[in-house]
Amino acid sequence: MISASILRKYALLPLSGLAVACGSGGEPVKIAGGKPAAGAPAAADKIGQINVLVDASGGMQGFMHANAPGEPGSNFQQTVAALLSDVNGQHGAPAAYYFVKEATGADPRILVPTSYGALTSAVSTGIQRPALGTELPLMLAEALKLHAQRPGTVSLIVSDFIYSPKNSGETWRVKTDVKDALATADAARLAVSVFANTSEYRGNFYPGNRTRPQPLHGEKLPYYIWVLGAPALVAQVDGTLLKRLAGQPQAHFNTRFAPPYTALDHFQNKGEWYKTEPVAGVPTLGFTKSVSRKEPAEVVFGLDLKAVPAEWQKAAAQGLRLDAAATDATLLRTWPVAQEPAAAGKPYLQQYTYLAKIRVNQIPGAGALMHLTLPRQQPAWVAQTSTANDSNITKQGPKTFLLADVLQGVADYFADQPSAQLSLDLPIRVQRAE
Amino acid sequence: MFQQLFTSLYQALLGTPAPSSLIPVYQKSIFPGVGLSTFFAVALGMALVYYVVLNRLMTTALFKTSHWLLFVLLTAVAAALLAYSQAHSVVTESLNSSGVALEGIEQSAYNRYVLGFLCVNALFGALFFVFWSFVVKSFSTSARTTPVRWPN
Repeated sequence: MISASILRKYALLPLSGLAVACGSGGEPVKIAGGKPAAGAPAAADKIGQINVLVDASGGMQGFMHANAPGEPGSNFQQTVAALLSDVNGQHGAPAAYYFVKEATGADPRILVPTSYGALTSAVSTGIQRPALGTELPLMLAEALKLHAQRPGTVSLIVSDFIYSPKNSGETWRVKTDVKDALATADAARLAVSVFANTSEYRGNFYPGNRTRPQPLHGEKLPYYIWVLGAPALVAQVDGTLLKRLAGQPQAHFNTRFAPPYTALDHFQNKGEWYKTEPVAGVPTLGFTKSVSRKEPAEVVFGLDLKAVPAEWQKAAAQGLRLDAAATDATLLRTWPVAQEPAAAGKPYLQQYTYLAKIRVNQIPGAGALMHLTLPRQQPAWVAQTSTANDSNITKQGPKTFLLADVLQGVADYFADQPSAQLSLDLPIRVQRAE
Repeated sequence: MFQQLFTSLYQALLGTPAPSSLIPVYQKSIFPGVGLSTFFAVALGMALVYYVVLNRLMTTALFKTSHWLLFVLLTAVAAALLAYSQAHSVVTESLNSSGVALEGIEQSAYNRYVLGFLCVNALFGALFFVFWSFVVKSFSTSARTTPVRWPN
């Protein structure tokens, strides 16, 4: 295509080349590949529907207490009201709102459709008739039923996520119940992001191990916002609608963050290579000269990790790994752009947050696919926030009954996905230039 | 086709472009662009000026082989200027669009390669002019046998 535009351009030149040679020579042709690979999401990555599900059980009532004039409202009220407002204000996808309650003989529905107005007013002044509360696995399964009806659905579930099996002797199988609840969806096409937060609680707290309710007067209790949907869509929602919660403890299961990254061909580069057209969407480097252990090539990659979870960004400085395939390559160093003295005044470096320098010792004839990866780490806050006995919650502080088991169930469901091992997987293709 | 043709012609004499990060710019834009315009606009243009304008439409005394040699030289100079200005403007545009400035060793590699490119294109310009001379000379009236009688 480029040669065609050149043909057109030069066909317009005046008869004598002298005029051109002395002048500017027209508008130069733009070269592809100058910009980072990851750009606007493709059509398949478009959110088709946003469902917001708010748990309307009695156990949530204490978060949605009435406020005296001048009171700022609980953290729950502020956060959820802001989230609902953001969902209502976005015009990317239609939104639907639901209360989650238990199924009764009179009304077997678990998800009760409602409106933005009714949901916000419930959040700010309390639920009119709090339900007994539905079981967590049932809530997840019901949410996923809506996903099956409409591709591209993302669900935001707001709840305390306390799962207490009816028979308290069966708490050991909480993991399995949660895993089974997700099983209606294909694990490769589902992701779950969990954002944790705490909020003051006024009212009766119903312990997960089914002991007597405890009246609380503003003690902090945890609540969670779960995001369910396709892996890329969940990442998109995490970075937009849930941006306010970026600093909160979070756990991601199969969520596919795609941070922009590129080889920097004018920064500490060694050896003769250049960026070619991406092969199957993978950034590709062509090497014009053979490289060896004695004469290795060096490539610095710029990674823009601004949109990935803060924990991962921190981990990236130490934790990035290189899967070198057949290139015998090594990751020499990973460092933040902020610590690179040469980055001052260089916008092409400033648009990235991390730099990773790779030394390539050989290029196989058929080329090779390397991977820059960030191994998955268990979020430490989960174990700290989980408790096996919440009968005396005031003494324990903000903890959730069997949270570790619940999230283990989610992790088990995604155990066979590559994301169970790797949080980030950034492929790089290297090949000999023809 | 021209992309490959001119890329191989230039690289046969110059080697792959340096610094290597500019290889795509040279191969996709500079080589085919400069090659084509040297071949058609510069060499053919000069041949037409010499044979048709000066030695057919106008009646000048510029039909001698020494005048023709002067035109070979002029074509070479024009081709060199074209190569330099095109390489310079395309590379500058490409670097500006990604916010990069060449520094140190890359800048000197660039200078060296552009100098080579300028010389090679001067040579190509001269050769192309000679080629076009034999194509165009039969259209001339007073310079039909410049520089040699063959094939007329």
